[in-house]
Amino acid sequence: MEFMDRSTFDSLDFQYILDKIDVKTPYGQIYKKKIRAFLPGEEELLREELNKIERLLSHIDDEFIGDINYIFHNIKDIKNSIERASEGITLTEMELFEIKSFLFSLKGLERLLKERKIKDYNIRALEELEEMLDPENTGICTFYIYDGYSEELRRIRKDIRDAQAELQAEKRYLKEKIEDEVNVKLSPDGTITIPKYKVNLIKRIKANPNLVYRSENYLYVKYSLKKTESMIILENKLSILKKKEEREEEKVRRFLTNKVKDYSRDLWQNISGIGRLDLILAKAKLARDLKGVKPNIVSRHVLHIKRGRHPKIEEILNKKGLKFTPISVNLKEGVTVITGANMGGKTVSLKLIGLLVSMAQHGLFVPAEEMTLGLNSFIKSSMGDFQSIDRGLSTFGSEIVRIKEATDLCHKKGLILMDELAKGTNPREGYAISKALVEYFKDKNSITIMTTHYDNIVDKDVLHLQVAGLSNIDFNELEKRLMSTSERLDILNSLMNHELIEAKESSQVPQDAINIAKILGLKAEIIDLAQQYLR
Amino acid sequence: MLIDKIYGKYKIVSIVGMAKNSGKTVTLNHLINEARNLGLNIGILSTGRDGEQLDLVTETEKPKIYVEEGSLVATSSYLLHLSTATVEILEVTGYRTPLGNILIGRVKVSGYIQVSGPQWSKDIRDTSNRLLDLGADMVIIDGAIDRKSSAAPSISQATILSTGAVVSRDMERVIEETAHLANLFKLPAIEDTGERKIIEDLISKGQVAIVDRDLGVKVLNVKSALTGGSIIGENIRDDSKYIIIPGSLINKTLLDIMERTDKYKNVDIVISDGTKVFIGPGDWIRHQRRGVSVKVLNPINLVAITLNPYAPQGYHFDPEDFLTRMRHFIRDIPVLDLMLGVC
Repeated sequence: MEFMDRSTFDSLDFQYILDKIDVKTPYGQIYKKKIRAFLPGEEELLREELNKIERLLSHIDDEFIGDINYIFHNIKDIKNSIERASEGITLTEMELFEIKSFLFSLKGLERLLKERKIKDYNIRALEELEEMLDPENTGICTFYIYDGYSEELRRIRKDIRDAQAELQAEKRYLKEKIEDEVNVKLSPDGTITIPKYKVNLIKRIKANPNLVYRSENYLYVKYSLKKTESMIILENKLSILKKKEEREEEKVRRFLTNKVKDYSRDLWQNISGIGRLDLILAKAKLARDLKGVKPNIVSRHVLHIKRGRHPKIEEILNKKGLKFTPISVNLKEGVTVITGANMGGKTVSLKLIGLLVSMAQHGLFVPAEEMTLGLNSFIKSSMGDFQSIDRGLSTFGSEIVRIKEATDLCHKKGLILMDELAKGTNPREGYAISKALVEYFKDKNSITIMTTHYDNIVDKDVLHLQVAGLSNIDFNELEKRLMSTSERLDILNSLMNHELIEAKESSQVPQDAINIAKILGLKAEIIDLAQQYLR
Repeated sequence: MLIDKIYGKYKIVSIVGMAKNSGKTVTLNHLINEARNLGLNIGILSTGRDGEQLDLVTETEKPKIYVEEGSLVATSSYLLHLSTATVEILEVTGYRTPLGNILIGRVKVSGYIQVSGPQWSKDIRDTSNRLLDLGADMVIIDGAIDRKSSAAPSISQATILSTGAVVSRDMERVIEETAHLANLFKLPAIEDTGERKIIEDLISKGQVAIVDRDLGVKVLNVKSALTGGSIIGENIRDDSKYIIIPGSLINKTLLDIMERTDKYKNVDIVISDGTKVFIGPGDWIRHQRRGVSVKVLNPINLVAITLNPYAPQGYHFDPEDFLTRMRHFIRDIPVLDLMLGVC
């Protein structure tokens, strides 16, 4: 069974949270892709994950992040190369370079973690392999098949250089000699092109044993240096030496490939250490950015949030210079009903609860002052915006399908979120269905939360929370001023208290809808009539 | 010597050809040879050839550039494998090509190599600077085969243009095309720092816009200047100063502008650099007569033109005649025939 289905994942906007987990290395990416929820029975694992974040959080300062990002930035994906080496395929110089570069990163990382006394990740420098890839002990992270790998290679390369130098010297000598004898300048590549009418010059050139005819057209003739016998011998020698060098390099690469193969276990271990470190660090940075706390994971199936905030909505409000009103709940198995005014934030509360539970179970800190949680085996939501509408179902139809799915699951310890059930239906039937659902879910093993307008569906076994709603409104004061709709909306928002409070048993019918209509400027005539009907 | 035109004055030089077989590789090797004789440590890269890279594989069985020990090169993993030079890998960059990531290396044992490089101007500039940082005395950028896709001239401090008989059977046309391109390279630059900043921003965002005398910017709602000439024309006001055209400047755009308004005479058209003009010599001169003025953001410093009188199609020009006449028409830039040894 999946923890969240697609629709719940979308309704809670969990992708927003995933996008904020900012891993830096290819290995961190792999671990991030594998993120999943911790399920009942995995409490201890989840606590350990959260503790790792907590331990790392104490190290997060700009210096540490700067240092580690620098190292992470240089870490390339060498998985393919290790696999190839294990299969016995000789690695290229570029691959060996990247492995060397990885080993240098490893060394830096080990040092950094040691300084900070961070121990969770099993990241260890592989000195012996590093020395293998740096045979001349340069301490620099560059690579080629060093002379130091084999005496043979050193000798071959010395011979190549000597032969090249000899050849150069010979060419230069010959060029200067010809230039002297014939009294012309040759181009750098040792050729000369002469107009055919310069008969005397051509005669002199023809007579010179060191120049040879190359090509001609109607107007010009081209000569080049004639290679001397020793030059030809040198060139042949060079091409043989180059072949030898290539063979010797291949030998060295095969040797190094085998070394990499021998170390593949250690390399994989480090790769996984880096991946985990990268992911935990990203989670820790998210915790810091959201001012999150470590959720307290307990074995009882409860859900307690103190002053929780919805990160995305908070971000939007903060941008406008507004503050998010934190929400607190204390829930257990059975049904909780949330009622309250339109525009009071019932849906936001529902989403907040779902999102924070999901974050906690995915091993993340949560934006709240406190959270205590027993693990859920699933989260199921029914929240309006259904994709199944595309499948030809109406909103109501989709709701019923989702609720049916929830009834199949509710005997397990899960979290069920239902937003304004049957709101498009006629009130009498809507009320009846809602009431029936409350009855059905209240003795099941899931924590079920419903938002609704029907506040008389609550009985004594059901927790009833209310949006605090509007208070302290001086309508006389309001009416003295003529205001635009947007001003009215601002006033409404400033007067609306989004907090959830436990409803008293004898709570009277709320009048927030009428008050809102009043603030937004609906004609007094209509308001008065409505109030009469209400009585 | 060709290098006299560069060394001591510029650190990053690009070589571009008017067409394939215009003698660019000869010029490149010539310059490398001269640098070597002066004992200079050079860095070499080429501009990325998007889409052409794979065709290149077949052509590069024998890499054509000979590099000495100590030279710095930008190449790719696959091309490195083809080279006969031994190269120490210093860095692997994030620039990708179909032939592997671009890497920077130092030649340990001399030999032949095929160089490569990133595709975008900024990346080419960064790579060139990296080669200088790593110890090159001078960096040579092997520009793309066709000047049309080349970003090299506008980012290098000096440019050498290779031209030759391959451009046309008619020597007059070769001279005309070359002189025209040399002219475009010399288009005047926008000097004012404040103006440059605004224009740079518009060009980098690819926005066709009109800038007025108070530096107010009006971004025009046209997908590209290629089809938006009329709209540009309609939007020129009395206080307009510049028309900013990111991308290519073509004949039709100018004609559309001129058809709408006479006010184009009072404004400058600003483009990124001279290689962005795709207007033939005849039309270009006609437009200038009618008062069109074009400026650039990035001026190109053309320091030499090299000639190849031979065309691979089998015909050739008289080299001395070609050289003399080219020099007659292009007086302010040195024209050389490296084959003739006339420098």
